[in-house]
Amino acid sequence: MKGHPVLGFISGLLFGLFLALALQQFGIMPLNTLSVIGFPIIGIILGLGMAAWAPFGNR
Amino acid sequence: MKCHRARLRNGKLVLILGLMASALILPATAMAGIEGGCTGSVVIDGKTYGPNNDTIDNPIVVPIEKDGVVALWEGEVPFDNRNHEGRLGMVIGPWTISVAEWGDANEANVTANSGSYSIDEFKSLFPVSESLIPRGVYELSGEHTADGGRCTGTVMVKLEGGGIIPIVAVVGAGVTFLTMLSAGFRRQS
Repeated sequence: MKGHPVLGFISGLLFGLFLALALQQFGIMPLNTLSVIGFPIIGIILGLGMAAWAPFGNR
Repeated sequence: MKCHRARLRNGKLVLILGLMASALILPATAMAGIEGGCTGSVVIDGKTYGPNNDTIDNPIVVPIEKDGVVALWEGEVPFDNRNHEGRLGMVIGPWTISVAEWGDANEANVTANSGSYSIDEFKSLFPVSESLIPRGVYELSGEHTADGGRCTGTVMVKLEGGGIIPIVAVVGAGVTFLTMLSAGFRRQS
């Protein structure tokens, strides 16, 4: 991968968890299996996808 | 060659994670309400709720910041209710936290019952102080089984109130989203 897969994995996982919590807090979606397990997995996919794509220049 | 293998490995990882996400999304369309013919209602803070309170837009509102609130409930089953047992739980992801359990031989075959449930007792289920109990909507699922049949049901419950957790959740989601984007910076070779 051209980007940072470990950073993508961890930040994607945490993004999914925070998103699930935010949606629950604002009464948009309860803490069901989709939000608690599915969102972090989708976040990990996005994070790894971002690291694989690496659309930004060198840091 | 090594680069090609690494790409294949990464591709497989993304594919596996994608399949896992799909498998989790499909059961999310589970049915709500009460099935099996049982009926029931609960009065909280002067408002009456029932099986129709099974959507996000129409939840059972629990005023968690008020002290001494009592939920007055009543329920009825349409079948032989001897040797009955049941449970009520709050769904958190794939897990269910027990809120109440009941059951006995019920040799007199009583099919209707009523009682009260203290909201303070509900608050004590959380291992944190009242101000740190996460507000928002929760799914409450329950089941009742007896010799003559079985009922299952789901309703939505909204724990009313403010607190710091919504702010932490939004800031956390924003910061981690930006961090996730920064994973897209190319490494220096």
